[in-house]
Amino acid sequence: MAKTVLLIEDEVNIIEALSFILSRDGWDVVTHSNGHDANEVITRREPDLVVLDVMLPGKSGFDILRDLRGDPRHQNRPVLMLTARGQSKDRDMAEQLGVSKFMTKPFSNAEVRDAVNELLGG
Amino acid sequence: MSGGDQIGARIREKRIQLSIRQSQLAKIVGVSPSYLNLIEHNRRRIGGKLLTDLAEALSIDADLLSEDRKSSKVARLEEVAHYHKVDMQGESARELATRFPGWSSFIIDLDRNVRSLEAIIDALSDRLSHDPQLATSLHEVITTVTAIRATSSILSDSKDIDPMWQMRFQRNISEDSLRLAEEAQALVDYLDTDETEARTGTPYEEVETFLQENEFYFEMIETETTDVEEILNISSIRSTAARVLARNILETYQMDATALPLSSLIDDLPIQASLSQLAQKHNCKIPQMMRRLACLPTDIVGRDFGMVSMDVTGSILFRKQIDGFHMPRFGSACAYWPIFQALQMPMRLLEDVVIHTGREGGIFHTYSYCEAIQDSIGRPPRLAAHMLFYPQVQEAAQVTRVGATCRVCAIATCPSRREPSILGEDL
Repeated sequence: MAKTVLLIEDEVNIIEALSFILSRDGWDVVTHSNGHDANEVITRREPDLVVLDVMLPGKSGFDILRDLRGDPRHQNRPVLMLTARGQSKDRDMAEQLGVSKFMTKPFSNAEVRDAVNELLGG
Repeated sequence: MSGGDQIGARIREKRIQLSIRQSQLAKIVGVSPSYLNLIEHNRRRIGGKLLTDLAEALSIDADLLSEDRKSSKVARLEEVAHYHKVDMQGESARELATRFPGWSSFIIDLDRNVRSLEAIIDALSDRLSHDPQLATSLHEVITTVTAIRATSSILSDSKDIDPMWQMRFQRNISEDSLRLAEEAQALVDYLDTDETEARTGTPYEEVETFLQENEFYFEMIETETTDVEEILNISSIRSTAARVLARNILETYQMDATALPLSSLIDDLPIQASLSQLAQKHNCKIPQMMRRLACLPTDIVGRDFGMVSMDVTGSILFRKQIDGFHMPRFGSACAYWPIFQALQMPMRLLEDVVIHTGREGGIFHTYSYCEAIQDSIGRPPRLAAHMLFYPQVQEAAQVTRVGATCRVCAIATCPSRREPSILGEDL
């Protein structure tokens, strides 16, 4: 059974592009486009990997990650964070909050595929 | 006379490097070859004209030959190494400067350019940090670029993509390209906006836009009993925070207009008397007269008044900018503004003439005054400083050179400089 990637991103065309390439790589991709109920969706779906944007409507990716790591059920769930905010302080914050991998936009599709493969052991 | 145990060695090394025989060099500088030999083996100390002649013959700075550890190029190289955290010994810097003067100069120039660019980046980063509108716009641009990149990569890398997906992705690229063009144009428009024109963004910027739209003059308040909420309701102000700030300003305006109605001031306008004479004549506090003069139309008051008010921390509470007297939007103002002297001497009116060295700067007459406001018993009075200024045509015997803020000030030798300027290569 294919591993599941939950893509939490509000930019529609990025969702389409990433869904396409990750599905083609054999992952089962589900998407969610806002932040305020993202943690509930993660709990319900229990994805093998969360690809998480930072700037989301309703709740930021940092807050989502913080709440995720505060929940024993998700402490070890892999999270790949995507952001246009590439300053080192953002990277530092993500690492302090327990991100598995951090990637700045714009990224290449190859970078994303490699990161997903690495985090899912593919 | 310079001395030391290295000058001779350096002379010798440089001579050999240039393939000059000892006898040749000795002849050039007018000494015997044997004497030059003693020099090169550090058995004779040299200085003055001979040192200068040898340096010239070897096409090298005389200070590089001397053992003065403060020689400019060696010191600069050591400072460069220290700044970039390179583990160099002092001897190495001296050797580098002596043996490779061209490379040394190149390293020093490169370091100067790097630091200049770092300062520019810091200034821009600082702008990004404090300008939410700019940060949001750039984020949108990056997000759109990401979408275009991801989609176009799929199309270019995929040989057997389904035609439906192909069409869909091409449509996405088309939409995103259009959006990117609009976002880029909006960003350019934003960055191209005249600096005297405030933009909506932070609450202070919203309020500034509102005040400038009304040219700081509210006829509704001047001519009739008006609830300031009515003015706010028809204004461009949207955020709650900006509304609070604007309400405070309008209520103060109303209080000033009530105490000093235009009809009572009209005989003194266009203004001829000094600020203190006016305040005394109308039995009002100096800050109140300052605000009235700043807010009345130029064609009535007879001068183009600018004004700035700040609290004891130097935070700008009110800003009315006029051409030539640029004030910072973010960060701290120039320490030489007379308003800062006024903060140190509450309840005393200061009068100064300043030259603003900024872009399109000029000479300005300034009035500065700091009031002590007792908000409540038992607490120290709150200080609020104000500076009223207008363009002055004739020069004064004594003037102070001021800028807007250190970051964009070109006064290189200012002892109060807090940070390097992005202007001026010498900084």
